Amino acid sequence: MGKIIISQNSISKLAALAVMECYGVVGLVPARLGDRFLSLLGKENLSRGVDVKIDGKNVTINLYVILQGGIKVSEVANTIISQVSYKMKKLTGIENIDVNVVVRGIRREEYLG
Amino acid sequence: MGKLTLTEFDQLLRGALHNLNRKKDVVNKLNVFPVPDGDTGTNMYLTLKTAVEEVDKKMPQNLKDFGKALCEGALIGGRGNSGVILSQILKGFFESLDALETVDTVRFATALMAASKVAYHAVIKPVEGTILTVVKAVATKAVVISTYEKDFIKFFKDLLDESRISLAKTIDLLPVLKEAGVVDAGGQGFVFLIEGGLNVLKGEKIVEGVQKSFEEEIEQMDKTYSISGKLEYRYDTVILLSGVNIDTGKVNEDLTEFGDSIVVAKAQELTKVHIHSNNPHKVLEYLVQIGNIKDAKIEDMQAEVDEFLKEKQVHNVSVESSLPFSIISIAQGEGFKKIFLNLGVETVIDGGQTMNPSINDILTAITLCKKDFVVVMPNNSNIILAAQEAKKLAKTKTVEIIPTSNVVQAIPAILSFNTEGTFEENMSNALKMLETSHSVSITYSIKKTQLNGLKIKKGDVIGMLDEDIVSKGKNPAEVITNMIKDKNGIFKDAEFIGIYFGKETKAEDTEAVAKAFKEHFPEVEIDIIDGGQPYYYYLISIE
Repeated sequence: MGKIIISQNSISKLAALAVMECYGVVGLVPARLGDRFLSLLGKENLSRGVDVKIDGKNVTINLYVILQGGIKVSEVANTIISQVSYKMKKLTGIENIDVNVVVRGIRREEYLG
Repeated sequence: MGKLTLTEFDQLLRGALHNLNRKKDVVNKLNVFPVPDGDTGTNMYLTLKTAVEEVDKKMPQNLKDFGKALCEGALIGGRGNSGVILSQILKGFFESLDALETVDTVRFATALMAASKVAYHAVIKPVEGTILTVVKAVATKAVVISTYEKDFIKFFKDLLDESRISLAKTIDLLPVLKEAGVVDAGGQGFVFLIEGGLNVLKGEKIVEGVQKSFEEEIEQMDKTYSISGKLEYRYDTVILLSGVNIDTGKVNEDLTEFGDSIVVAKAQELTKVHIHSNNPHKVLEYLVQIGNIKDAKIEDMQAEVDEFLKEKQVHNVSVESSLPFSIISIAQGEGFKKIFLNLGVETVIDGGQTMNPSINDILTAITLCKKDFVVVMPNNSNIILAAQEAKKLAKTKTVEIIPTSNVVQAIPAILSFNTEGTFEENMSNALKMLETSHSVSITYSIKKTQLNGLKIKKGDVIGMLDEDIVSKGKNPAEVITNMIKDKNGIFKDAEFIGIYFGKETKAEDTEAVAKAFKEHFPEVEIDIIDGGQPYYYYLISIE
């Protein structure tokens, strides 16, 4: 039998795509920069807003997100955790995935009507 | 009807809430996306309920304040993904109406369009085939027909039709839905909201809504009281008042002098008051000045609590566990509850498939545990997350979670506990036990679906090994026989097989199932136990 190897980079990309579909998430920001340099990431390097740690069989995913203002933050964050971990487990088959959400900012509410 | 004012909007929302309450289980059953946890209907309902309750509290006098109260309630009460989306829809809708006092179909359509925009605005990559799709379709249709249709009843009928058409299309838009053979749950919830609105426009009366939420709230309060032993306030007092100009806010405030757990709810000219007090006569004296008393009920809660504690103590003596830590297990079915209590589990929380306990339920149970170390067995993969959250919030206890995804997994884990061992040793033993044991669940399919190469019809009996559906058939014995053939390796090495039969299981089925096991594995010890669980014909543990 062969072996399946999924790179850290691929896991980041998958997680970034999954988090983009989560309701209430309007942006990802780089994981490693200080708040002063906060900037929304463009589509190509979204995975920089995702920090993946692999320790043996365990994978920890930290997501650095900007949420829409005027939404219940705790509820959105909980949904992100369950939605991203569900999707990651389904896509990769990795069982031990921990997802942490770091809310780095809230986007201002604006009138759209 | 050509124009809607505050009164109509109020009725419209209550009608929508009422209808969703009646049909939330239908929505729950459809829930396969984004995470198939069967709670979309409940979440939407609770979100809208909190929103309407906020309106009851604030008693707004104009449409703008009404919208504000509603949106605030939906924001605070937002539960789950669908609840959050619903809160954005309401926000977009009512912010667009702004200071208007009367709304015609054209304005209504514009507001729906704004709602759709605001809802879409809060996600980078909106997934089509969801509630968002249905809202957009309805809004677009509304804009078109509002140009000629001025009557709200006909207008709503058209919107309802459009929502149903759009809902039917969701199955083709989202592959997950296609595979499961269902339409989108959130979208269905939205259709029920429109339907409820239309019912009210057509003249259906609803009063029950307010009454019901009142009862629920009180039940919650009384429950927290019954646990604590000595009561601060002794008499549970419920009074029904009639009178038009009753200021519920003021009554609520004035009553704080007499006791706590105060609920004041108003529906048309009736006001219901609930309070826990030591001086119910003073409460009556005060309320007589506010309105006419139609009905009053005073109950001594201390007597009830004493009775309750007496029963509980008798119970505890027989089950006092000698382990150095407390165990909490979550289960459905009388049989399982008894089994757990006999195994030394301190608290069994009622819950399981389609009825997940809240984080707060688990946290309360943890806080009330007698020992400083607590083990929680969620017994369902949907509850593990809530248990982990409760663990984080429990400051006074050291909590460990054994991530059991099935109630039968908890039993070998509990049996592996050793009174001599440390907490850590016991936890690592239980986790090892979890890895080596398997569980089989036999249930029936609630919908047509296609999974793992099996074509499943509604009503088929299906068999799950751990979390995966691996076999199907017309009756439980057939499903088990198929499974034994396909997954022989798993059963072969077992030392013990426990068969827990459910509430609605037939005795002759159980005989057939036990026979199937005995024929294939004569060496293995087999036990048949009454689990009393709903939904599952059999839960089988393989150790």
